[in-house]
Amino acid sequence: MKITAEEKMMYEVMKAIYDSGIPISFKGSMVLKACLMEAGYSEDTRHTVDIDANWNSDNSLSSEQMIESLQSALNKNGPDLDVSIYRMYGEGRSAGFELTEKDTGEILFTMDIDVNRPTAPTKIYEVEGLRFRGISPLQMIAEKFRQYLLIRYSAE
Amino acid sequence: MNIREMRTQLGDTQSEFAMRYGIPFRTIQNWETGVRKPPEYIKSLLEVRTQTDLINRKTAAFPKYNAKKSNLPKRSDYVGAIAWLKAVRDCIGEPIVFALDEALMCQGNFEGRNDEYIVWVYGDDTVSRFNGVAVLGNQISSYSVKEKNGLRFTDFNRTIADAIANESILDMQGITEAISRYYYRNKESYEGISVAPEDQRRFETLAKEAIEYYEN
Repeated sequence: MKITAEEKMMYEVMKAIYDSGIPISFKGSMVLKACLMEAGYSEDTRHTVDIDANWNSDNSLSSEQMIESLQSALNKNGPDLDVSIYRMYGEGRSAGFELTEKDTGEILFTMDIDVNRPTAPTKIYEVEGLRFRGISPLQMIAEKFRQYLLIRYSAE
Repeated sequence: MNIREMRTQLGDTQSEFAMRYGIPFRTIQNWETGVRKPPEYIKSLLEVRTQTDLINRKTAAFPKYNAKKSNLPKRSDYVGAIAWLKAVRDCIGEPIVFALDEALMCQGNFEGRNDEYIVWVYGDDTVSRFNGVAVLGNQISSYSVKEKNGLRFTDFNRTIADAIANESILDMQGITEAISRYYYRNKESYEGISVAPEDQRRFETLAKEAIEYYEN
């Protein structure tokens, strides 16, 4: 399994956020890919161009605080991208961020962040030297199982 | 606008156009070849009707892979959807209007997937010589077309109408994400979106799903 230039940039964003100390752990397809790569899985995976994460803080966060923290993380250690928010988090709803290329104004990818949800076990992943914190493989399976149950029982 | 222009805007053949409006095929032929002239009131009625029906263009079919056809640039070789779509446009080398998921990417409402294969367009049928190209129609009203970054694409209202018209063969994730993005960018409002009366009920369901899309 290889990573594309776009995925590498996404992992660079995740590394920059991890290095900055923001209490974010990643999840979703980017972590699944890292997990499969570590396990030596060779088939390519399919996913949308977004980064999913949990942000666990002791306090509630304002949109300005979140943007400032993320932008500062990217400015220090990450790719040259602008961060903006288009959906504030709410009851049961994640916050939505857009990461835009500074020169062209093109939105390259989005980040969906759940804020102050119950904490999940995490571990450190590494892809081509880029380290970040992501939810544990067991937790990924647990979340998929939870989604399956939700779909199954909401349909009945 | 004459009858032929109305028909080609819809991307219909003469027999499709005849069937669509219940007009004898021979009458369409006679009108288009000038053997007979349609009454002015019929022309006016048809013009109004074809403009409405432009959102109900022929339903596309998924193109099958054919080893003899040329291949388009791969999405995974590009950083950002726009760079990829520019490469696709240059490779095709003919005027095209991007539709559905590709239109959403041009609009900045959806970034697509790392293995995008199908490219939805309005354009000449000859562009189907490339693997993965699905032609939604041969012509499209300029009122439904936007241009940005040197790319031409359907506007958001038209993209929603196209998605609803082709729902039976589409993965609706892209349009749902895009409608959700529109809603939250517009201060939790759908103001500015307009859909045809026949699509209203379906749109309301999609709109509800889009609001709940990021809830868990």
